[in-house]
Amino acid sequence: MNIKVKLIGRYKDIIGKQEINLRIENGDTIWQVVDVLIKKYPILKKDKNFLMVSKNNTYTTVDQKIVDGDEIGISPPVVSGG
Amino acid sequence: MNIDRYHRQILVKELGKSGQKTISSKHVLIIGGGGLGSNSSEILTRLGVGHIDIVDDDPVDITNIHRTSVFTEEDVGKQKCNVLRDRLQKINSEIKITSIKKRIKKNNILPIIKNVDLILDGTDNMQTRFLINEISIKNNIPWIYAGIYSTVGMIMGILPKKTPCLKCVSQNIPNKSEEIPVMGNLPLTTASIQCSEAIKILLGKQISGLIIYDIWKQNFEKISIKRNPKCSCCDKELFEYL
Repeated sequence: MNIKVKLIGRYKDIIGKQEINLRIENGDTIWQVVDVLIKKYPILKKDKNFLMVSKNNTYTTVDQKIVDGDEIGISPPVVSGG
Repeated sequence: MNIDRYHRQILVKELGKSGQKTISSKHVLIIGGGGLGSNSSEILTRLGVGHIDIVDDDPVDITNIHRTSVFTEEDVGKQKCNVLRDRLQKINSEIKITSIKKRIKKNNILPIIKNVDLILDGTDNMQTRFLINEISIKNNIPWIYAGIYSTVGMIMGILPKKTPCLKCVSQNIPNKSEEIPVMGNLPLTTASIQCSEAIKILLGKQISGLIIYDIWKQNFEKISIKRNPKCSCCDKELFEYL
């Protein structure tokens, strides 16, 4: 199935696109989307466990299953300095 | 209140005279008096928020000076909260400023947040932010997350049970303490955006969701998000930090 991945914050600059289309398997979760992205863009690997992920504009957990047509958002982790 | 001192500000249609009177009646707590908190407290003082509490238990360090205009070299070694109180009271003698020399913890936060209308995040670690998030949800007090890293600032106003909370957007966080790189002009920009959101909350206006600003690339993003309907904090009220 095909899904749209929206890139947020510095990820847009790193990857050079605002959104990308990915083909994934039925039953996959956001975690698999993150894995596919990391394979294509290894620079994202260091953030792997801390990414903010959203499904159709609702922030959620990486174990959420995806259905055809979902829009997944990938944001950098929240920053913690003060 | 001497309304004349705010003459140019009350010309702003989003605020006006009635908005100015409203913010002068409000009580804001700022947790942390470093790069973010010192700048936010100065901005709110000049804007005319009626009562500001500043909580911090650290002294001013020479490494703080590059990212705030409030402290000077003469302040090094003095308590941040007291320096801020004394300096800000000279800027606006008509408002009340209270300094609280404490490190916020789960066993002392409740009396500190009592009676405040809004909490501003000026902390430097995620554990304290999650504690603020939980006390905010539990006591129905809005708060505004702000964080900085290198040239990027993030800001998000949180209205309990109405807008996403910090836990909604960050299920996992790096559990490590590291020295954060910060461009000197970033905290002031981030604090300025945080204070705009603060005024909107105090006036009961709509806030802007998650804001990400990169002062180097000059990228500004507003991200509209919805609450996580299964959030362990704002939906299930499972408080891990309280």
